[in-house]
Amino acid sequence: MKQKLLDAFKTLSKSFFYGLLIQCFFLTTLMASESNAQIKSIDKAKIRLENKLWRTTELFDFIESETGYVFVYPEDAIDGNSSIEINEEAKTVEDVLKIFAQQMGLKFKQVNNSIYVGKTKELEVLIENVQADIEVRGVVKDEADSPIPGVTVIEKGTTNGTVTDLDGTYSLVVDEGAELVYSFVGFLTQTVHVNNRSTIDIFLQEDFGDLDEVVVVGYGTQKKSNLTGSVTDLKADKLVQTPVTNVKGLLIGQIPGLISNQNPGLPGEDNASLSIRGFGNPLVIVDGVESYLDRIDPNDIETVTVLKDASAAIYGARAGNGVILVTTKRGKAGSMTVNYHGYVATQKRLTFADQVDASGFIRIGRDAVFNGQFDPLNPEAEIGYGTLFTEENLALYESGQLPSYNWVDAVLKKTGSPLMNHNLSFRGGSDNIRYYSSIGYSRQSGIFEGDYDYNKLTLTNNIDIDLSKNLVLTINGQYIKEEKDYSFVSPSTIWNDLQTAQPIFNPTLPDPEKAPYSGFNERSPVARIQQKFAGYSKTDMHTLAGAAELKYSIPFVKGLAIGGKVNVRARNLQNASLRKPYDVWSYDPNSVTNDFDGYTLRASILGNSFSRSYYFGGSNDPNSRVLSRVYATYNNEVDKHSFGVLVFGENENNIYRSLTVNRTDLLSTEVPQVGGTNELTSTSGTGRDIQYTRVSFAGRLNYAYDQKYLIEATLRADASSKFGNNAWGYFPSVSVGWNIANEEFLKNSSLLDQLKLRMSYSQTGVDSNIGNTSFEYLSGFEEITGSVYYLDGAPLPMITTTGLVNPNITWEETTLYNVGVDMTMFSGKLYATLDAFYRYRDGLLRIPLESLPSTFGATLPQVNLDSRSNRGFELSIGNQGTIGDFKYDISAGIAYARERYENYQEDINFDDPIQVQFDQLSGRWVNITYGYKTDGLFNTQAEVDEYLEKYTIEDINGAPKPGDIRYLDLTGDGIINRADRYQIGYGSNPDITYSISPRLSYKNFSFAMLWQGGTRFNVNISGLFRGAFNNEQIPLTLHDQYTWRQDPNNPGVGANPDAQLPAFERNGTRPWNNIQSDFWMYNGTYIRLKTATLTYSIPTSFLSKIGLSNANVYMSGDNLLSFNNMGIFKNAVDPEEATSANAFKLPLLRTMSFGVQVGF
Amino acid sequence: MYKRKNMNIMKSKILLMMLLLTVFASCESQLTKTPDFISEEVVFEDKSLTEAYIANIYNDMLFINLGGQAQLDMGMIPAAGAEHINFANWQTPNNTYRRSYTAASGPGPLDYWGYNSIRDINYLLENIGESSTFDEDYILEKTNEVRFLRAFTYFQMVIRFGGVPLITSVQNVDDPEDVLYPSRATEQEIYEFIQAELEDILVTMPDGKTGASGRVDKYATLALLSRASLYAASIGNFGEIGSDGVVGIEPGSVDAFYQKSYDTSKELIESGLFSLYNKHDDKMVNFTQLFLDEGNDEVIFAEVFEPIVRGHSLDNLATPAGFLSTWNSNFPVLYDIVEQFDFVDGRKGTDISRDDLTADNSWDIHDFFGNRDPRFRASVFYPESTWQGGLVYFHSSTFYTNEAGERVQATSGTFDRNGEAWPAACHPRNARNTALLLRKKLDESNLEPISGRSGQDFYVFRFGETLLNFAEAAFYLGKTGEALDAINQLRDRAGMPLLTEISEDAIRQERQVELAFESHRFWDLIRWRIAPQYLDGVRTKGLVFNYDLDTDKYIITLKNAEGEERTFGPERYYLPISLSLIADNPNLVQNPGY
Repeated sequence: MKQKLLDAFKTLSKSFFYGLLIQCFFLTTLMASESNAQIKSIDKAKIRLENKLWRTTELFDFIESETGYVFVYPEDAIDGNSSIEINEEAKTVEDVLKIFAQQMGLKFKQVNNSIYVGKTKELEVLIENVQADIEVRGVVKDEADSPIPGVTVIEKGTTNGTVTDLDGTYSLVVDEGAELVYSFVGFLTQTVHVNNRSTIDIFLQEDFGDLDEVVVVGYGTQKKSNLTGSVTDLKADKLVQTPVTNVKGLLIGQIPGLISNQNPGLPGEDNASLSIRGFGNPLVIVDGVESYLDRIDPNDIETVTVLKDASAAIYGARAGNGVILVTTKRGKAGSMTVNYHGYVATQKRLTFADQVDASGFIRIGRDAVFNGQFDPLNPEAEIGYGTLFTEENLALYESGQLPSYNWVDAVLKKTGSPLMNHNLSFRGGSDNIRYYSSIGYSRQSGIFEGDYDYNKLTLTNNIDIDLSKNLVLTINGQYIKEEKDYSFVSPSTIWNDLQTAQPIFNPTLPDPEKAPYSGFNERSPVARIQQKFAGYSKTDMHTLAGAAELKYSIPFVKGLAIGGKVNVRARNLQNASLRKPYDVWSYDPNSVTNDFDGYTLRASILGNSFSRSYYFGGSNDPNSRVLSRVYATYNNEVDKHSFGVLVFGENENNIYRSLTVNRTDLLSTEVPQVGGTNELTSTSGTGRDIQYTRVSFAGRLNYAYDQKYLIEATLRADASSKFGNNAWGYFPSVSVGWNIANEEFLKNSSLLDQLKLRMSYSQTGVDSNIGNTSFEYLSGFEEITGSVYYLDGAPLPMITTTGLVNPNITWEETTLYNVGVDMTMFSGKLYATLDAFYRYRDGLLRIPLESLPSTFGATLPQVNLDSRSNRGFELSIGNQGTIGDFKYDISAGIAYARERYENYQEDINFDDPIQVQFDQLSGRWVNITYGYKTDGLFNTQAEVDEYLEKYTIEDINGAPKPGDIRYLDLTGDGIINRADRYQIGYGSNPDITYSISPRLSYKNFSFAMLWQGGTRFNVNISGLFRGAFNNEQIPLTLHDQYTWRQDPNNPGVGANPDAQLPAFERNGTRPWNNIQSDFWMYNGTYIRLKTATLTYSIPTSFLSKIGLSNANVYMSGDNLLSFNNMGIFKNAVDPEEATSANAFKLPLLRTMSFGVQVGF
Repeated sequence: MYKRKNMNIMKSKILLMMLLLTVFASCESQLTKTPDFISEEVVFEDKSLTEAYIANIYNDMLFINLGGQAQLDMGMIPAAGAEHINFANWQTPNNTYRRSYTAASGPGPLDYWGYNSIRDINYLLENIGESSTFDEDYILEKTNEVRFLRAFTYFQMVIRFGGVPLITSVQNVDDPEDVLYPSRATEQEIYEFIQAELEDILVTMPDGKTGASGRVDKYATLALLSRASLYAASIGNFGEIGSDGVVGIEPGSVDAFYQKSYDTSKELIESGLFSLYNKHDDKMVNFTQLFLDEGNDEVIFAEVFEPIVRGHSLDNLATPAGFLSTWNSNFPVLYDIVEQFDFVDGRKGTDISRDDLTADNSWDIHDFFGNRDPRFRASVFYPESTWQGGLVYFHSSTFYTNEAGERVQATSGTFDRNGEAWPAACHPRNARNTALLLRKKLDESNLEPISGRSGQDFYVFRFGETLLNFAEAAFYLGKTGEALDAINQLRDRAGMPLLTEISEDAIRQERQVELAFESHRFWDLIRWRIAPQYLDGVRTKGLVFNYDLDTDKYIITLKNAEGEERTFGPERYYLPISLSLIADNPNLVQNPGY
C-alpha cells in the first residue's frame, strides 16, 4: 500500500509537478521562507506588466515566460474567471503576487524556481532569502534505490529548507554544524548531521505505521486516517512472494479474524475455505464486480482489502458475511517498467496414513476374525479364518518368503510433484494513457503418480485513458484459460480403491499395459489414476472479463464527478469425459511356463461411457454476468470540514446455461462420440437456462471535521429476482471515528503518533441462503431427469412437485456492531489495532419442522426462521525498527469469534428433559459437541461382565466385549444412556486463531516467516482411523501399534493393556465403539510455520551494469513445520483440514520453491 | 485542440447516457424471471402429464427396497428376517439387526413413513375431478389406481408401526390444529380402511389383466386384500392389543379377516387367469425360470425393470466371485434358513444335527445340498453349484495326500481333479461370510452384470403367495382339506413329496421356503408372533468348507456368521416412533415397550 502511495506521488510529480504542491500543503513543517542561493528571490525579480485586467492564469503564464519561475497550483485553487486590474508597469514579482494574494485569497511560496499557489484567507508573508554558510547537495532515494522527488529537506531548528526535484536531488545552503531533517509522507523522517560534508545522499525508509495511506474501500478509496470502519488491507508485496497457485492460500494467517481451512485438491482445485470472523462465505469483489478469488494470478493483485463491519454495508444484501475486495494493478505514467516473477516448486505430501505390510495385514486380519467370531460361551468353536488370513499365509509373509508391496507409494508421489508459475508484466504510460499488462502461466501436476495435470494462462490488460482534462476512461480486460487433464476418476474413487489394496499384491506389473489387481473386486488404484486404463476427464475453462468505466469530473462544480461502468464476465466450461473398461490382472512370476505368461485375469471394469458438458463453473457461478452501474461522487473541503458523497445505481444480470449429453455403449472408445444409433446405446442429456438479476441503489455520506471527528453513513436498497414479491430490502449503516491523537492535548505527545477510536452499526444481509437460480416463491411440477417408470410395457416419464411455496422468502438480516481502536506509538515503531464486534443474524432460513408434522406429506419450504449471534475480537500488534543494517518488523494477530443460537425453532419434545438438555439449541453456543464420557478400554472379559452386571445399557448399539470402550455413568443411575453425555468438545473450526509474522532484513538479505494456528476446537476421529476393515479397508500402521489385541490362546484378555484404539472385527469397528464420545475427540490446537521465505536482493551496483533496475532471488517453503496435540494421530491428521478426520484424503502438501523477481 | 476536447466530451456524454439507459431501463421488469416449471393448472388437463404424475407415485412406492448405496437395500428385509445377510456390516441392511431399538434410536433403516405419497395421491383424488378435458371413465380408472396405491402405502406403514394417522385429504398449512396434528388411528382402523378402500374400487375395476406389466389392476387389488386381511387376522389371532388399540387387532374380528383373505384368495384362484409356473420339467430350472420368465401366469403384480433404461443391480451385487462381475458375493445366506429346506427324499433339513458338523465328519456335497428341495438349489449357491459354465467354489482349503504320502492342507495352487483344474481354495470373498450365497432371481444369462444392467421384474404379488395365503386362512377357518390341497399344489410344482396332513408348522415352513428371500419372512415371523424364537438370543451361523481331494468330500463346520447375538424383544413387533415425530406432533403416542 505504502509503495503504491509512493508510486502515485512519483507519478504525479513527474507528470504535473503536483507532487511538490501536495508536499507543501500536507506538511506543516515547511513553515515559511525557503530559499535557494542560485535563484533570484521574487522580491528581486522585476517584471513589466501591461496595464489591463489580468486573469490569474494569464498572469502566471506571463510571469513564467518572463522569469523562469514555475507556478504550481491545484486547479481548484484558481478562480479562472475573475480578473484584477494592475496599473503599475514595473514591479517585483512579489509585489504583483501580493496584490493577487490580497484580492483573490491566494497564498504563494517560492521554493527554488517554483512558486506554489494555494488558497488562504489571510495575507501570506512571502519568502525571504536567507544566506547560509555551505552548500549541501545530494540525492534522496527509497530502499529500492529509486529517487524520491518532493522530499522536504530542512535545516533543523530553522525555517531554512528546500524540496527534492524530479531526480530526487536537492541543494541547500546551511550552517556548518547544522542537522538536516528529511521528511516525506509515507516515509520515516530522518535527521543527519552535516559535519562539513557537501554531499549527503539519503535513503528513506518506508513508514509502515503511518495512517495516512489511501485504502481501497467499497466503491472507492478512503484515507486510512479518515476510516471509520474495521478495514484490513494487504499490500501486493506481501502477496506475491508466497508461491501458491491461488489467492486464498495467500490470505491464510495474514489477516486477523480471517479463518480458513485448507482443502487440498487436485491440481487447479486446491482451495481453502475462508470466512471472516467465522461468519460464513464472504462476498468477493474483484475490481468492483462480484467474482472469485481462486482464479486470479496473485502477481496481478495490487491490494486485498477485507471489510469486516459497517464498511461492508455499501454492499447491502450480500455483505452480511463481510467483503473481500481485490484490486488489480493499473498503469502508471512514465517509462515502461517490466517485471518478471517466476518460480519453480516441488511439493511433498504430509499427513498421510501408511498401511501395514503384508505380514501385518495377515496378522491383524487374524486378530479381527478372531475378535468377531470368538464366542465366550462356546470357546472351543472353530474360528473360520477363510482363505486369506490363514496360518500358512502368516508364516509365508512373516518369514519374507512372499514379498510385501506398498500401494500408497505406487499411487501417491512421496515428493517431487512439480509446480511452476511465471508472470511477466509491463507497466507504464504517457500523461494521457497508462497501462498495466501481464501474462501469467502456471502449471501443476498433482500428487498422484498418474495423469492429473493442470495449466493456466492469464492475460490481463488494465488501461486508463484521459480522454480530456476531466474525462477518464478505464478499461479492464482479462482472459483466463484453464485446462485440467485428469484421469477419469475422482480422488474419492481412488481412495476407495487404495483403502482396500492389499499389500500381498504387486502394484507394478512387468507389463505396463496390464492393470494390477489389488485384492478386492475390480479395484485397482494404480489403474484408476491412469488415462490409458480408466479414461479421461478433460476440462477447458475460459473466462473472459471486460470492463469499461467512464468518469467525468464536472468542471463547473468542484469535487463533483459522474461516471458509469459496464462489466461483462463470461465463462465457458467444457468437459469431455470418457470412462473406459479394463481388466485387472495378478502376476505370479513363479507360475510362468511355456503356455502360461503368469498373468491371471482377476476382474474387469465393464462398460463405457462418454459425456460432453457445456456448463457454468458452479452452482452459483453463471455463464455470463453483466453489471452496469452509474454513479456520482462529490468531495469537497470547506475550512476544516470535508465532505464526501457517493450515489449509484447498478443492475446485474446473470445467465445460467448448461448442457450435458451422456452416452453409454460406445462402438469404440478410441474415437468417442455422443451420437449413435445402436439400439443398446443410451444417450441422455440434461440442461437448463435460468437467469438471476439484481438491482441496487445506494448512497454514502462521509464527513470529517478537522481530521478529528469522522462520520460515515450509508443506505443501500437491493432487489433480487430470487425473492419474488419481497425483492426490495434496505440496508442502512452509520459509523463514527475520533482521531484522538489530533486533539490539542495530544498533539505534542512524543509517545503517541496516532490514536483513533471507531464505532459502527450496520444492517446488511445474506442472500446466498438460497441458490441464485432457485424459485422458492413459485411452485409447479418439474420433470424428473434421467429416470423412467415402466407401465404397460413402456417407459413413462415422471413429474414431481417442486414443493410448497414460501411467498415470503427473503434474505437473512444481519445487524453488526463494531468498536475499534487504531494506535501508533514511538514514531511508528509500535502499532496496534483492536476490534470487538457483536453480530445478530435474523431470518435464517430453515425448514420449520415443528410447525407442521411429517404427516402433512410435503417438505415445507424454507422459512426465514431462526436467529444467531456472533461475537469476538481481533487484535493485531506490531513492532518495527532498525538497528544499523538490521531491520525488523514483527507483527502478531489474535482473533476470537464464537457463535450462539439465539432463537431456534426447536424440534424436540420439551417434556423430555434429556432432549431439552442435549438437543435444545436456543441460547446455546453453536460449536459444542456432546458425547459419552469414556474411561479407556475393557481389558478382560471379567471387566466386561462386571460392567454389564452393574449397568443397564440403553441407547447404545451392541454390547461390549473385551477391547471395547468403557462408557461412564455420569448420572449415577446405573443406566448407561444418552442422559450420560456431556460436552466433549467444541466444533471443528477454531474459536481462536493466531498468527505471528516476523520480517527481518540485513543488508541485501531478508527473511520472512508466517506462523499461524488455532485453538479451542476439536478433531473428531472418524472412519478408517477408528479401526481397520471398515469397508474392507487395509489396516494402518497406527492400528498395528495402538489397537487392543487379545492372544487367541488366552482369549478375553488384552495382550497390550495400554492400547489406545478399541478392538475391531473383520467387519470393522463395532457399533458399540462407534458412538460419539470423548474417546475420539482430540484437542485441535495447532501452530504451523505456514511460510518462510529467504530473499536476496542483488546489489544495484551490479544490476545497473546489466541494465536491470532490481532483481531478487528467493527460497520459500510452505507448510514447513507444525505442532499439534493429536496424540497417536499426530502425523496422520492435520487439525487445519480436519472437518472430517478420516484416513485417505488428499494430503496437505509441503511446497519448496525457488523464485526470481526481475525488474527493468 | 479546444474543439477536439469538446468532441471528446460530447462522445463521452453520449456514452454516459447509454450507460444510464442500460441500468435504468432494465430495472423492475428484469426482476421477474421465468422458472422452468410445469404449471399446476395443466397437469390434470393433459393425459401425458397425468400419467407422468402417477408414474412418479408408482416410483415412490415401497414395492421393494431399492435404496441405499448401489441399491444394497434390496437385502434389507431378508437381513432383518435372518434369511441372508449382507456382505459386511457397513452395509445398511446389516444395521437392521445390529442396532438397538429404543425410542431414542428410532426405527432405523426399516422405517417407512409414506405421507409424501399419501399427499400426492390425495392431491390427485381432489383435483382430477375438476378436469375439463378428461372423461368420467378415465377419471374413475385413475382414481381407482391411486386409491390402490394409497392402500398399499398404509399397508406398508401398518405392518411397521401398527396404527398410524389416517389422512385422506390434502392438508393445507392453515388447516385447524386437529387436522394438522392428527392422532394415530388404531391398527384395526387402518386395516379396515385398507379393506374398505380395496373392496370399493374392486366394484368398478375392469377384468383386464395388467399387473404383470406393472399397472395396478383388479387382481393386484385382490392380492393386496388377501395379504392385508391375512396379516390383520394373524395379528388378532396371536398378538395382543396395546396402547388403547393403537397396536393390535380385536380378537373378535379375526375370523372375519381370515374369511376375507380366504375369499379374495379364492376369487383369484377361481378367476382362472393365474397358475403356478410349470413350464420346465427340471424342477430346479422351473423354479429358477419362474423369476426370469417375466409376465408368466404366476405373476399377479410386478414392479417392472428393463436393463439400462430402468435397470437394477441384483446381478452385479449377487453374482458369486470368480465370475465376470464388478461387485459380487453380496448376499451370504445364513445356515439357519438353509435348515428350513427339507430333502426331496423326505428327510427334514434339521435332521442333520449341528453337532455333527465337526472336523471329524465329511459330507458328500451333492447329498448335503443337492438332494434338498429343488427350490433350495434354485435359491442358494453352495459348493460346486454350476453357474455360467463353471463351478462356484466355497472351500477354504483342500486336503490331499502328497507324493510323500503325507496328508496335507493347501490354500493355494491348483490341483487336478478328474482332469479338471481344482483350485486349492475359493475366492476369499465367497468364504468370507457364510460360504453360501443368494441365487434366487439371479439371471445366469447376464454376462455383463454391471450396475443397472439387471432387468428382472420384482414380483410384488405372485400366485404362489396367493395359495399360501389361502392355505393359511383356510387352516384357521377349519378348512384343513383346502389348506392341504393348496400346500400340495406348491410342493408338487416344486418337486417335493406331497403332504398327507396339514399343520400350522407345515404351512409356515412351506411359506418360508417358497417365499424365501422375497422379503416375506421377517413380516411373517412378526405377525405370527414367533420372531423371538428365531431372532432373539440367536447367534446366526455360516459354514466353513474344507475339501478333501482324496475322498471328494467336504468337511463342513459351523462358524458364527455375525459378531453378536441378535436380540428381538416382543416390543419389536412394532417399530418405535422416532422422538422427532413425537416432538413435531405430541398427539402421536409411542408404541408399547419403548
